[in-house]
Amino acid sequence: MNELRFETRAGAPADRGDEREVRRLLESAGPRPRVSPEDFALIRAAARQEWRRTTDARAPRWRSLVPLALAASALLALAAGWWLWRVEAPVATASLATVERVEGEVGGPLAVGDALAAGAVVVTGAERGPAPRRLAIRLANGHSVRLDAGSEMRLVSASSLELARGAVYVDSGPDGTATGGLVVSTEFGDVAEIGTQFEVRLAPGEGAALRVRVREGAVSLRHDSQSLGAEAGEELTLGRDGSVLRTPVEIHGVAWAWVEAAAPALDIEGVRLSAYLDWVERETGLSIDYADGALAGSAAEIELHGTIEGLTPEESLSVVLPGAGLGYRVEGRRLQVDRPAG
Amino acid sequence: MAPAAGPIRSRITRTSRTSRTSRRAMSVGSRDLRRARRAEKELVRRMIAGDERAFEEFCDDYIPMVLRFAQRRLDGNRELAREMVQSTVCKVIANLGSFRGEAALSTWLCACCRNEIAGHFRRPVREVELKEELLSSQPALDLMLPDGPERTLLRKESADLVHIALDALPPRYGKALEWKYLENLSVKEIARRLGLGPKAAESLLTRARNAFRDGYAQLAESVKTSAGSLEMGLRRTAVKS
Repeated sequence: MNELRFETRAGAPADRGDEREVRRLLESAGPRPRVSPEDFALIRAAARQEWRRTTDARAPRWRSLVPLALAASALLALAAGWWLWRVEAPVATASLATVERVEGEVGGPLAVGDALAAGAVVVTGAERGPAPRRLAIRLANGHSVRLDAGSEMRLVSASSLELARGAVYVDSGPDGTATGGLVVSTEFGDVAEIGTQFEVRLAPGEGAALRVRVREGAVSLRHDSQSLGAEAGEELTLGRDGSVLRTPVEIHGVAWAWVEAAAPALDIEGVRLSAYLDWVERETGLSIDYADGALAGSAAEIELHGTIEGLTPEESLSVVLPGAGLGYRVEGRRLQVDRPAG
Repeated sequence: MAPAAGPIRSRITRTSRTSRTSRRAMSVGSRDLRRARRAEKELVRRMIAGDERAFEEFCDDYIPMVLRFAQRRLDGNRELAREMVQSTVCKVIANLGSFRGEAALSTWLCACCRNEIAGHFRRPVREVELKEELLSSQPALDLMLPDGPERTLLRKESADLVHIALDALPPRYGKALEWKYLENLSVKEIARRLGLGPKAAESLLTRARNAFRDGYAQLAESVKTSAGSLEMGLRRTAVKS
């Protein structure tokens, strides 16, 4: 037998010699490497979605009547001419992406935790309506992708999206942690990311065909035989006449409001304050400043409990930081974290 | 009645998947092994029933272990390890209904992770089937060691071997040993953390020590055997040339 045996040897109770040897081995090796709280939080979040999906699938029949009732009202809404979600192509077992957030959720075919296969087409409803319709998905390779209202996008593969209309936002994670690159193809050109956060929008205004805004990192826009680069804080607008306009863009503020509104909420249960603030920094474009070094150090030791479901990243600051006994203020692009007075 | 103490094989061998002999040998196994399996079956049952605490327990006890397993196999590539472990954990959760407690949950997770890594690199390694009755006869400790030449790089008494031996234990055993010998916690505090009485905690520590000692010995022997095989292979090659 090769399995680890968990029995005492017959006639050989544990003795001090064995204990000393075990202690020596453990002390010389030191503790097992601790895993990164960020990695743990991300894996646990994905595991939780899968667990909820499987436990919901096993739920008693009466629970499944609730979403059916919601679907009925969604069908009525469609008849009234209100757009909700539409997905073409059934969900297949080979999952390319997972739905992380559905904004304006009233039922319909897509729910948090749903898997999307290659070839799936996702359409979001118009901006004007009872509530905006936005979607956040996570590709299998780690890229976070968000779709604004009034958009249509096809998942070609884990590294390729086709944007037919509207806008898509892509985040390849801190330091480009998503594996493999990603290309967003449009009829006017392809945008390839190089470890970034960026937005691609079709028909952004009069005479304009395509606009690319970069929040972090860099992208390459391929149009006809040209290849144009854009970096963080830059916006490239491609006119229908082939002209290209390069202008600066703020990386925090109203230009990214829809992106923040569509951000999947972080599961903060058990997450360190420092990891939460890293997430806020990433989602809002704010730059975090601690009042002093000791405060910065203690942020890694504060463990959070609870939920920020339903709050945007910036809204969540007003709940999390006071809860951790801290104060904050936002001045321009800077988020100052300090100890409250008194 | 004292548990039956059979001989401990000094050499880890790759058993055939249909090896009924190994399965019979394991079924005669110790009270502790059966206790550990029962605890895992109960954990899985609670998770399937939607118990949030069971899910959190599963995450706390098993995700770090699988992450360390993946990082060892991927040369510390953190991002790839996270991706592999994420898909591993999701697949295992999707298949929890088929878990019967015959193989260790850690064995199942590591076998699945190894398949994911092999698939990622499209490496033509023998894929470990994830049917539990086959995994129950898989060499659990062997599974946790690196494959091929990397295994020979593990020296006897290296920190890696100690950590692998700890990860191969039931999670409570590994935690109890680190609390006792690295953090120098009292038995009373260890008992409190484990939700046990002091005597039960003492007993668990004894079992944990013995299990660690035996597992570590098997790992060290396996590494030594692999190094010997490699050396023999190299000698034969030298003679041929």
